[in-house]
Amino acid sequence: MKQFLKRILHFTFLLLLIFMVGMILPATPRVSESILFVKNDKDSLLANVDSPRIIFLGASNLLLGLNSQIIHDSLRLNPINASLFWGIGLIYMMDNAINYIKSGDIVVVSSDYSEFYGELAYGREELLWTVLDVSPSSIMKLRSEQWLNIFRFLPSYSFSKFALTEWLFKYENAIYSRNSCNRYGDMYTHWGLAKPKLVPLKKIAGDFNSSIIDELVKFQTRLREKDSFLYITFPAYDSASFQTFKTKILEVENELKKKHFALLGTPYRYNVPDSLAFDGAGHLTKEGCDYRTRLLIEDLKVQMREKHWVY
Amino acid sequence: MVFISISFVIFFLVFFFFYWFVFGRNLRSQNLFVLAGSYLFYAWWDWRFLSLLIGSSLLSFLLGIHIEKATNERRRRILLYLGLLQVLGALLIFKYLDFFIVSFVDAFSIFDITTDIRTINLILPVGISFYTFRIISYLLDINSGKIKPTADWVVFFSYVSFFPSLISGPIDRAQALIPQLEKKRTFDYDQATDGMRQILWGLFKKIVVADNCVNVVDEIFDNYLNVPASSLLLGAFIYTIQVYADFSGYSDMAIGFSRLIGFNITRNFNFPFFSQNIAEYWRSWHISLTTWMTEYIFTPLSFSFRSYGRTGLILAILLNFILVGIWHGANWTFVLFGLLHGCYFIPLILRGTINTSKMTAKSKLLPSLVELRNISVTFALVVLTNIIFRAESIFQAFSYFSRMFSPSLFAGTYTYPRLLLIIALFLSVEWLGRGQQYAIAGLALSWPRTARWAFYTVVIMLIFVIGGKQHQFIYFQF
Repeated sequence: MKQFLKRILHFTFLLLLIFMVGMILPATPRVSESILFVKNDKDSLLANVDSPRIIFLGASNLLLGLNSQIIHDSLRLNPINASLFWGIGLIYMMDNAINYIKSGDIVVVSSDYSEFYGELAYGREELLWTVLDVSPSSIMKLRSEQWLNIFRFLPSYSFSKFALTEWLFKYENAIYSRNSCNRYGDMYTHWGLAKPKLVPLKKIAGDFNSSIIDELVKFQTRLREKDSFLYITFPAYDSASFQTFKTKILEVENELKKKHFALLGTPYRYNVPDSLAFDGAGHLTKEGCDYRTRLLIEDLKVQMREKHWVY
Repeated sequence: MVFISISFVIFFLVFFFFYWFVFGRNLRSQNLFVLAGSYLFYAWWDWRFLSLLIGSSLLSFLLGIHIEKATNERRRRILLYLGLLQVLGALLIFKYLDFFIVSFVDAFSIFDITTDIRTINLILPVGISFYTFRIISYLLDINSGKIKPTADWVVFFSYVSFFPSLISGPIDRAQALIPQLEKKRTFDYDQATDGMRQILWGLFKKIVVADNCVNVVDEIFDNYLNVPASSLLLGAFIYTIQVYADFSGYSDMAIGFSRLIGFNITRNFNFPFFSQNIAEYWRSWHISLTTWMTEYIFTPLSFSFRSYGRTGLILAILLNFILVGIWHGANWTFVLFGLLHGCYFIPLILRGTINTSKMTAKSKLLPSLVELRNISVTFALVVLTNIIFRAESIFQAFSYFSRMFSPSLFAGTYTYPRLLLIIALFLSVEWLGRGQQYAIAGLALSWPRTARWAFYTVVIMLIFVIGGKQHQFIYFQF
């Protein structure tokens, strides 16, 4: 037994050593070209774009679902599409954005419905890669719930640094790369491409997590302290994804209504025809982005008129 | 609690420490600890069904003693039937009742008779098919005089609920596991390191091979109406690899964890994809189930039908395999799956080669052409039948077949180069290690320690880096 435990300890030590080396190695060329790195560009937009501003915050339903140029032209606001994607988690996106909010900013959140279920809003492996490779300064700002969600991905993060493919093949995805966003932060490289096969949403895991709604309430309070305003809108889902998860989608809307958030439209209104959907739930073609943006503008105008805001 | 979870890692580390260092000196307290650990492991899934497990164990323990004590045959039989009724009754209610109700209603609807019987939608207690078979073999073996009942309730309860194999097998027989529970166990370095290696290989099979197959298989089977026939064939092939890697991966881990605590449990797989006929395949696939079925179903049936010669043997095989199919679940697809496998035995029975078994390409690197042909035919039969196994209904299975055997079988296919490379690597390692208990059992053993550890490190890194997203083990549903 003594010999067994000794060897196990030695082997564990060896693994830990390799793990530590992996942790301190820089981001691989493959990761450096990935879409994770758009966060830096978006942070730069948040820091530098002048007021009056409208900031879009959420997951890939905004990243691949908005044409900010139309917003700019119609509302005479400077749009910033600061949205990232699902695996980063809404909580991180809100915590990150709040640092850049200026007085008078309008913030529109469009979180994927799945982020209101289970622990997804606290992030997954993409969050780990983001805080370790893209934005190490934010590592200390992670909450314990976020660490709980992502620490199990640490071995794959570290060991992936030793994969030759990560270093030898500098592979840039035609759609999802760090160069995929336009000057507003919208992903646009897919706009001219042929529509691939649509994969509807298959799963929303976990039970409804009311703490995400509480986090939105807190975010709204912090925005008000900075003299800015929060709207919440809904992802533009294809019909199959919408129908499959209708009950959960309506539950999200209902819970948001209970907290009296300023909502832009309804989930039904943003349920788009499949012809406008790109490759997955909430991801839209150019026509889809235009369509969704116009709906959003109509809803924003109604809300702004109610508040007697000039646009 | 699944083997691949942080909770299980913590559970097992704590269990291992207390098992050897705290309870190691006293056999009874060590067995009590095994029992407590097994119940904790089971309750982690669903504590409500723990009472069913304990209740079945208690009744079977008492019945086992009374069957042995029974002085006349009638009383003995009544006690045996009572024991079988309680465990099979629970299995029938939880697993098959809805199936019978639906089939009953469907049968009447053919004659335009509507019935107002509703399904009850009970949740299937995890592992019920596995522990039920353990209890049945215990009672039947006592009745036939093969074993004596244990007088120690802790031993018996631990046998029924032994946590490494509780959820998904292997289905250990009483004569194999109970003596190990009754004997003081000492830590064996070689056994423990071998167990660790087997766990590592099981993890590789499950996480790297099976979990990477899941999305591709789901994509093809969920869209079988819209993909070319060549992709359907590829889907069936990948599914077959997935089921094997998933289930044998679990079995490897179960055996490995058992070895770490001093137990040798039943081997469940013996490289089935290299079998040269279907009988050989079933002797090396889910071995603990097939030997169980052979002993308690096939042998009594073939004995009863012995006066009908080969016809009787065919009948016994067909019935045996229909039951093997039904064991997997309450669906007509499983019945057809079993029936077809039974039918594949018919040529072997007629040629009298059912018991012929030889190791493929023994002491050679490559198989001969004849061996290759035999392996390919057997594998093709398994792949095609697995379409029925995977399908949700017989209609869907036939629809899949009809689309697959169409001109587009020779058209372009969706290719998954990364996955196919992983499968090729996996099958190559399996082929090279086919003479061992598991593929990497002998691999690297003779290497210097540095090289051996480097090999283990690479396997561990591959598990983390190229492993697929975690999915539930397929056989948990059975």
